Amino acid sequence: MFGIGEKFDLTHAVYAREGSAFFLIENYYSHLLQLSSYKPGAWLDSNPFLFNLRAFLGEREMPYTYHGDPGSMKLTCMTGQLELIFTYNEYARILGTGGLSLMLEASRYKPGAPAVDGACHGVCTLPDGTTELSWSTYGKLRLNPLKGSVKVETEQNDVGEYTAVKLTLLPDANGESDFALHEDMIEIPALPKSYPAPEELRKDGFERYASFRQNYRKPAEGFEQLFNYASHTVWARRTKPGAGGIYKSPMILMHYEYLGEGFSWQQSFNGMAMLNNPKEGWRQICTMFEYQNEQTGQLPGNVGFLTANAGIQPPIQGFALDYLIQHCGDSFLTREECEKMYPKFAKWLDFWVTYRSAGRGDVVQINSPNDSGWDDATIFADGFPTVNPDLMAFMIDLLEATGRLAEGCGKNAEAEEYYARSKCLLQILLDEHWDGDRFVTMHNGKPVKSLSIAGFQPIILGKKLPQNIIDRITEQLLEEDNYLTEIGLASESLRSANSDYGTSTFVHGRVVAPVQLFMCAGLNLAGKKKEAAYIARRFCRCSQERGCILGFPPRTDVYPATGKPVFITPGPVASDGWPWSSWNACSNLTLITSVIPEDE
Amino acid sequence: MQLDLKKMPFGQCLSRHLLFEEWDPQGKGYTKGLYLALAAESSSMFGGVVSRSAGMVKLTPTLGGEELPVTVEASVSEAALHSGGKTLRMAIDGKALLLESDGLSLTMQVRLGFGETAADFENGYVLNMGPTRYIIEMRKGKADLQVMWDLTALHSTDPVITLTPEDGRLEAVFWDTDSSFARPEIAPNVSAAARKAETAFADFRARCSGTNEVYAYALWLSFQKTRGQELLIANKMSDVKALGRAQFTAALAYKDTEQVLDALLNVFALMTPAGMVPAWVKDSAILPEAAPPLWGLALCRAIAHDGLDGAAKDKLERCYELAAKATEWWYSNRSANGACFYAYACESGWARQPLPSDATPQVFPDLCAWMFLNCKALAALADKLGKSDAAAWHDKAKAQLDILKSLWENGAFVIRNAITGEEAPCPSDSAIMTLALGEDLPEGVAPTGEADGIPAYIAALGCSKRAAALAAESIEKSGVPAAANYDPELCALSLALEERS
Repeated sequence: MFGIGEKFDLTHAVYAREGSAFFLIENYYSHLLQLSSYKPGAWLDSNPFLFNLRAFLGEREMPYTYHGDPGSMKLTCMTGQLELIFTYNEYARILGTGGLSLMLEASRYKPGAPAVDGACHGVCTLPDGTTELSWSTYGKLRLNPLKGSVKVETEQNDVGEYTAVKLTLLPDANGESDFALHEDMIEIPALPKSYPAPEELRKDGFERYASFRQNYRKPAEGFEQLFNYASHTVWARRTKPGAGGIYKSPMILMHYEYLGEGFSWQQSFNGMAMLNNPKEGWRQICTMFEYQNEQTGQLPGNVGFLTANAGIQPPIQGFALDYLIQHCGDSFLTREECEKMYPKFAKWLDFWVTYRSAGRGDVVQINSPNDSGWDDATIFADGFPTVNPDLMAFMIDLLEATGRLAEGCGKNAEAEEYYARSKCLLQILLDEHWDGDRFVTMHNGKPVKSLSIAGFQPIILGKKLPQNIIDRITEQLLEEDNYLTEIGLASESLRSANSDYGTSTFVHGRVVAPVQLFMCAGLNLAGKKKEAAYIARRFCRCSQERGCILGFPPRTDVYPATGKPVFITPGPVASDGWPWSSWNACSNLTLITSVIPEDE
Repeated sequence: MQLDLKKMPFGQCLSRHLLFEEWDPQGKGYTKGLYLALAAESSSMFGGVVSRSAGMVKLTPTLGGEELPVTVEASVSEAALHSGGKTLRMAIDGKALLLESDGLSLTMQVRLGFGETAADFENGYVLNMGPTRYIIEMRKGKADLQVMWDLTALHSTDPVITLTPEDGRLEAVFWDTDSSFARPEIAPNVSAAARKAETAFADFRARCSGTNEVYAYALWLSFQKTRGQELLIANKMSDVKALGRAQFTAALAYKDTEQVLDALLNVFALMTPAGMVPAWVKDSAILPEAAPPLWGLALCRAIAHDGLDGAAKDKLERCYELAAKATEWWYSNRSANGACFYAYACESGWARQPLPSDATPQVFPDLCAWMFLNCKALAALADKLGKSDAAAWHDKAKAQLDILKSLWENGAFVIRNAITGEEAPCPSDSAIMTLALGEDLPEGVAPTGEADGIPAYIAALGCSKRAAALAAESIEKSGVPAAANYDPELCALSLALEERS
């Protein structure tokens, strides 16, 4: 799928697989493959836990091409092959033929930086013949030679800091090598007495990927290739529970190279895409509740391998559940499920109403943009606190979902109360935030002037909105050169003087995946299926061509509203610094398996 | 006791609030002045680390809108800012910092990081800083907030908050809380909070060895809840790591046996399932390398003090069980033929140094000494608890002394490669620390040489003359400015040495 001569190589994407910590990228500068682990949650630009993969025949360095599939990554040289098989367990198998050696050389992503720094605390060959590397808080590696031997080369300065570390995996007398490379964030447990045959490990990768793809419906015609890449991108970021970390059930990481964590609302984005297996989709939506604060009801903002971050992300779960039900029915919501999840949803709702109260009923206000997910949108131009219609829409759906779960476990009176609250909040949204064109954000009771597409996010409420509002939003979303571009919907109107497509911006004008999902899924739910598909095709075509990247600049020459030049620093990853992301992948999967097909 | 806030912050055991005077001694360009801070890990809204210097809020008292010269006084329990004949007093009560003024206004210049905001909140303001919610609650007086949100930079412009008295009185409480905004019951005013703090400190001092109040304060101040345990923090101002090693050395400062056992149990609670005591922990991270195994040093000292008679049996049982597990970890994971080794130089716990033989495990004399003390302490505990394995621990202790003796060659220690047997000269820190064995040091073994800092202090624990020499002069004068650098570990050792001398 990824490799030299393929549609995408690893300068743009990451090679990984479900349940493994390891990932590979191609260094933009050296074109060597580099190996790392997502578990420390490090950022690629500053990650010292990064190893160049260099091939040698004797003393001679050999160039290689590479090709990765769900089974393994093969590095091919003129004289032989090196193969890395990432496994569902906490090790990779590394095989070599043709007398090739593989050097793991501690390095950095950017050229010029020292090879290693204080993070390397040591390399030690232990009495059992294995070699362990300790990399401070980044984790440990242990090489177990099954065939061949390890050559260790290090350099230390006067105070014992490592300035160079190279481990060369040497072949045996027959020119073959076989190593198990174990990883752990704390301690490498006792090594297995024996290992499965490599073929079994490769097969496991293919089988798990094939099985995972079954969660999705068939993609719309013409988007099969995007389906392959998107489903692989999500699968490859699916975590393994346990393994010394805090993952209790499989969760989807956002990235590997940056933000290698399971983000709260992205689990729901992922869940609502799994329309061929709504039971799994519902499980995915519920994963964050495994970390719910028992006292406050808060869900963490994200869950890393070792720690959960107490930040907040929006309460999208009701919307995601609504989408699943509207497309698959609700048979997956068994009484048992409802009894399990109703109190958790109710508590999550209470968190918002209690700790984000605007002082009236279920209206909430926020002091941080992250609480809404619209991080750098212009709806926050006047500062905080704000009362956001986008968040209100989530709350309306969450109230309804909580009612649905209450009903599912026979608590009809409680359900009716939630439904009534949902309707009441909807009325407030319509009465106080709709200005005839858009839903406006309020800051201290005053409307914030903004051309952010966030003002249309309540379209996720679908047919709960009056038809005139649905029509007006649809009309504006379809208007060329307002929000609609050749590659999808811009997050800030092209007519806005506040647009910024720079690499460090998110929803300040770029065409980003979750925005397409909200708008297209919302239009779909509102009965505007053709219009939804029309917009979705544009973004999906762009992703199919350019990869599962979270967002794209709508223009690279000038900002249409001001004529000022667009300045986007060409970055080392992906097209302009943004990496491949499961958030794009799952958004695309929803679009190509439900929004677009429903127009056909 | 008056605190010099240029040298040591005003704070409190188990509280994250700090008040200190920045004077930029290293010329790093920090703005000088009085600062409030939190002993906290900084994390962004995405969970990554936000870097900022310790000072979070720069405080400028004013009178009638004018900035006048300020003098600062601080005791263990209360801090006061005097300016223009008026006073602003502060005291800490756990999560709350109480503030009262009889006429002074206060300008607070806040520094916020990525994703952080300041906003109105109830009768005051809230600073949203990662998982922290720093609430400024006005009780008397007026407040004003000036702040803007920088859209594309994703953070607030640095807020300026002005607190102004009304009818000559200003009263406020600064809360260190989280997204639950939980605010527990606190003392009603600054005076009551100060009395509470004074009593708590006096109780702590009564359980410590030595008499030096500054060292005791530095030690008391430095405890913080980390990973659910009350642990000694390396430096609340700049480094909120809880070093495994430091918990053991801090335990040396106590004359109260229960306190020693509590300190050990707190750090043993951090052990990995296999029994490794980590080199350090923070709430967000753990350094998964072994801390030097110094629990036996603390236990042997407590045994020598009162034979552990002052400890509850269930606590002794628990301590025995965990100390045995931690000791066994070294035998299972860091030993060859009974000799324990450091796999990495940093496992010794002190200054890094290049290993003489690349990438291979090394047997060091200090590790032999610690393992001897661990086995000796476990033997004593087993005896006291009537366990059958006392003899086995005695044998293991003896074996460690034998290995130690084997490392003594021609009047000096060597280190030995655990796999190849190759030998190399021993670093002086490792050699000198074996003096901590005191009378248990094998006959004929007499390491000499110099060591600085903590190794020197640990060595002195085994030698009353050295201890007396170090304790007699202040640590500052001896070239190890513990208090000036606010090093709680050195302060703990200094208290222990006072007793030893």
